[in-house]
Amino acid sequence: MKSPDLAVHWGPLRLSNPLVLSSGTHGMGEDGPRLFPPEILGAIVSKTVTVDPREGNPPPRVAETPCGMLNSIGLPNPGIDAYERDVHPRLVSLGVPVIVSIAGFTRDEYRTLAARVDRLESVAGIEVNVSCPNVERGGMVAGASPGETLAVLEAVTGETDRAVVAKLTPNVTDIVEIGQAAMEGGARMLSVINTLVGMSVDVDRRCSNLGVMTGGLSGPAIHPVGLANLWKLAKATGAPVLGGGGVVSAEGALAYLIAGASAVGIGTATFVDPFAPVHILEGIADYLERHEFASVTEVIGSLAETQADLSFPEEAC
Amino acid sequence: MPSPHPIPCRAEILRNEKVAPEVYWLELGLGGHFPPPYPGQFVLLRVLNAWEPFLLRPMSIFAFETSRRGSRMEVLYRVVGRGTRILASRCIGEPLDLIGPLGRGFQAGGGRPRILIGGGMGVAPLVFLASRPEPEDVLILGCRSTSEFPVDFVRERVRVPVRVCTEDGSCGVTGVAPEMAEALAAQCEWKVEVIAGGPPAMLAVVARLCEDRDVPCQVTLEARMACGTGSCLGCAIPTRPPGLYRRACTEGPVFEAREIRWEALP
Ligand SMILES: Cc1cc2nc3c(=O)[nH]c(=O)nc-3n(C[C@H](O)[C@H](O)[C@H](O)COP(=O)(O)OP(=O)(O)OC[C@H]3O[C@@H](n4cnc5c(N)ncnc54)[C@H](O)[C@@H]3O)c2cc1C
Ligand SMILES: Cc1cc2nc3c(=O)[nH]c(=O)nc-3n(C[C@H](O)[C@H](O)[C@H](O)COP(=O)(O)O)c2cc1C
Ligand code: FES
Repeated sequence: MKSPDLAVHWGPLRLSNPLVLSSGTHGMGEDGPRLFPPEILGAIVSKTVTVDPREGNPPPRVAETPCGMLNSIGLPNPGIDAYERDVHPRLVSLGVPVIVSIAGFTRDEYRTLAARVDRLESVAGIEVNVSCPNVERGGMVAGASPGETLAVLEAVTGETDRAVVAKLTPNVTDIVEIGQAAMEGGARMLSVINTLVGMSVDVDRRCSNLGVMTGGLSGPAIHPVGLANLWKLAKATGAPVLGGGGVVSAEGALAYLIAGASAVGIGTATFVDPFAPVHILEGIADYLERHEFASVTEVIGSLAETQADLSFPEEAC
Repeated sequence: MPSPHPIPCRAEILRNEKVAPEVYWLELGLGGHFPPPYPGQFVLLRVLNAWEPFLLRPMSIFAFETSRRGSRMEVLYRVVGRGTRILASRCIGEPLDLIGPLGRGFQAGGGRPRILIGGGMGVAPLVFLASRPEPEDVLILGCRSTSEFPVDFVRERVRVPVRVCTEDGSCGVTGVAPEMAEALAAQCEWKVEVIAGGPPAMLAVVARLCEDRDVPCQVTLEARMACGTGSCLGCAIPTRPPGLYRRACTEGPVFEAREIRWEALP
């Protein structure tokens, strides 16, 4: 039998496979990913770049949690000038589509960044980070409000014709409302989820295990949350959505695809199991063969849905 | 010195032996493909082949040897929490996943006599360094008490002169390592190089002594880590000028002492 076709379409992008390496989980692009061959990826999203260079938050910046971790990295990055000069060429040289992640502290900064990235060569898309929970003035505000999300996306899409992704935060009351606002603002694709706000306390020293009190939770602990967000969003908006959060195995990736994801994000897993992307892709191919699917696109959105009583919210169980 | 490219690797536990009340000596068989590490480099150990505990534990390389039958690595660790407690319960013959060798190790010096200063478990990477000694090396080993640190075990492992000091006087001179180092360096009119590992408070004192006398000083620092390979930007060490951070796993764990903003370490 022919080996199954792993190629997917995520909005206007055609990816050789659904696996996308998430923003902020491979350094600045200068040395990560170092432990697995990057060319196996469907695409790679750059560390979020801001207009000015940022050094990030005081340590400790990471803390272990049950089946996951918290981070309060604080968006360190060399700024758009150095990104353009040093980082982008290196990411492009990896030989996979590069999606550039941007975050501004004002709508104007988003506009500036969009215009700068628009000028670069070899950009598969622009991911608008409206969701980083770490920075006081930053993304949190935009991504938590439909109005501000709309405004930011309009600011970005006014400057570029490139494919724009809105990466959403799960730290909101209704992610569907925010996703709809992003699409209205001109986003072509959505991406869920960024990290969940969390906290961890050292009871002996009676202080936070992070240098800045709270951080973002990632890893297998958040998989069910990402999955529910992805499913709701894909169903309600019909937009091409990348689903991610807590993927560590082929089963975890397939769950997102079956629930309607056009592509799958992976990040934290690579810290703990550097070959996770290799095993996940092998596992997906294996699954498709076992279930006699010729292409991964056949499983996308194939979820059997039970009759939900929509008048009875899931929180009220 | 370019660092060897790290690899993920499945090791076999050859020994996991208690050498002091909470201190264990771990020996791992690595097969033939593990890149030979430099002293000062470390590995990340996955204490269980599972998603819980989630993160890998950074441990200095205490010894390393390559033979025709493959490589052997040793680690000396103290049980301080959940991960190291699980590690202590692992048995001979079991597999142990790790990533390494990681980080930037000790840098070759300028030919002055070297004083190596190890405070407690911080001596582990210095023992590896002292396995390739330079002629005038001296190792100062400081700890609270022989009741909580395997002084004799460590002393027998190195081929350089060892001076011991303990806070309770249970072995060697009663006192702390920086005082002993100060006296020794003064005897050489401070024409020395210092290489130190241990608790940050001790390292800060050593760094200060060296900076005042313009003595080159390398320190090895610990930081919370997620990836160990430069990818998460989690292991930030505050360096000069203010506001700047470097990654312990990539630019470190060995740093020039005068680069560090000691007051900003957690
Ligand atoms: C480069 C480097 C080399 C090290 N070498 C040695 C060594 O040779 N021998 C030795 O005994 N210890 C060494 N340590 C410290 C060792 O990593 C910690 O003691 C260990 O991670 C504690 O894990 P735990 O689960 O038992 O403790 P817990 O407190 O339960 O750990 C919780 C989390 O905090 C992290 N953590 C706790 N203490 C430290 C620490 N001091 N440094 C970094 N992360 C920490 C753990 O890795 C884990 O993610 C080294 C640390 C670093 C960074
Ligand atoms: C250390 C770390 C840094 C991150 N940095 C960014 C970032 O700069 N921009 C961003 O959009 N998301 C960032 N994220 C979020 C991830 O891209 C991803 O959305 C999230 O971690 C959930 O997926 P995972 O569980 O597979 O890691 C970061 C996550 C981690 C763990
Ligand atoms: S531990 Fe991830 S960058 Fe150092």
